[in-house]
Amino acid sequence: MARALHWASLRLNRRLQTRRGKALQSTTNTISSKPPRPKGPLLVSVCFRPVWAYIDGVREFGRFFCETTFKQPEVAERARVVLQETLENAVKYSSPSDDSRLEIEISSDGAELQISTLSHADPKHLQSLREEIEMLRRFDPEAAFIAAFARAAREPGAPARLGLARMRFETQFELSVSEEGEGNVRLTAVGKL
Amino acid sequence: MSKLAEVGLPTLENFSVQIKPPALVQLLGVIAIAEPGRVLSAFFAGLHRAACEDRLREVSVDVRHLTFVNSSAIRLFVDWTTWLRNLGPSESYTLRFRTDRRITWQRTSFSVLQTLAPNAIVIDAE
Amino acid sequence: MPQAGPFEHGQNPLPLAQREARTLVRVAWENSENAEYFYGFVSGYAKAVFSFGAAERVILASQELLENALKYSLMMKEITYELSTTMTDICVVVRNATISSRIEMLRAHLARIQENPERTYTSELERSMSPSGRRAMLGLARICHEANMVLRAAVDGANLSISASCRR
Repeated sequence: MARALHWASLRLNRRLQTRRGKALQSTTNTISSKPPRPKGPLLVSVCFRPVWAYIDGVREFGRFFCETTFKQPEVAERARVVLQETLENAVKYSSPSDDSRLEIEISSDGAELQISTLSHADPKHLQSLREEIEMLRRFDPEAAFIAAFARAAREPGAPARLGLARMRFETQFELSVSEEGEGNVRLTAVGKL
Repeated sequence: MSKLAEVGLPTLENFSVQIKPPALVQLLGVIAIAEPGRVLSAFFAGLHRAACEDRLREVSVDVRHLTFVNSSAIRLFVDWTTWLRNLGPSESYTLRFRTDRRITWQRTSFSVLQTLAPNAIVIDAE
Repeated sequence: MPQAGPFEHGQNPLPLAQREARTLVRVAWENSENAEYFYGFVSGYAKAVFSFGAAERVILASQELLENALKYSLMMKEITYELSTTMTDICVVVRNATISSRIEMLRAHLARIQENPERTYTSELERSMSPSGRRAMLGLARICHEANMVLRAAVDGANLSISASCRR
């Protein structure tokens, strides 16, 4: 219940800040890079329980939305990949509780598209996500994707961990992660339209 | 008798497979489930085993109609490439992927896959 | 019997207490040419989140309010859809910019619905089937009569917001 109230107040806070045209700031300490400022107005916000069953529907809705809004099928395809991978990431690492929520937002200023997920995750996941993104950012997207393939090939039984590198290379979106409130992790992807 | 033709086909919503002996496999649809390895890994391993038993020199995998996959599904192709790399020269075969260059994931992923086994992976992009 | 609420001036017709409300879905269309795909999404979403009866109401209200907005919105003006809940209520709000004559027509129509939802529903249903060519205004009457939801509207300049709400 306390977490639900926290989520509601967090969302209201963000909405008010957006209305006033201010940059959105995390409500508490930022662990990694600061959350990127939203790219223009918020176009889509969907809140749901972080379960796998929702991913297909939200992803395809986001794809159609981008296709009709931006009139570029290629942008819609890139958004589809980002939606799939960010949602998967959030669902896999969300805390398993009844009041757990996952929120996805799409915003755009006409030049860039921003897609972000906000979910409640294990602190260990936030740390490993931050390290993974920092590692990826040391390489150009193609080199990082090749390195991720090589790692997956070296570790046949382990999780693939291709998603973040794939997003950067395939969609040319840049990634960042931040903490908002207690244990709320925001993964943000920003790319050119 | 072709072993490849005897490989059991997986059952997965929005995804289908056609095997055309002696050496063509067509993958169609979408793979975006939580753990594709659990459902499909044995099938891919079966294809690899059958290609070895049939002593094929080349297996063609047509993915042009596999329109969308998640990164966990890309892992299936990485694993297949790894198995291929572990074969001795006498038993190795070429894995030829027929791809559609208009589909982004195919354009990006298969070119990178090729870096894992440049001599064993061939990409035909249409 | 549900009553159509008052037609208000101001930005927000939300009947839900703002402090409690949780936004579940919010979508803003800058280009309103095609939102068909949204109906499929909101239908699946509502069925997954709400009870069968509540989902049916949300689906009907979402479709009717959004169709109206798409038909009567000024060109190239934003349309927003919002689905929110409290512990006890569900609310669908659609906002769009429109012309003053449309607002006046809507004001009269809502007054008719408020006076007698069933009669208005029946007369609009008959009108929709008649060959007279006059466009029926069945959508809002359906929300009130079929879905048993409370309608409210608010006007702020050229911006019109209509909400449909019910218990969960």
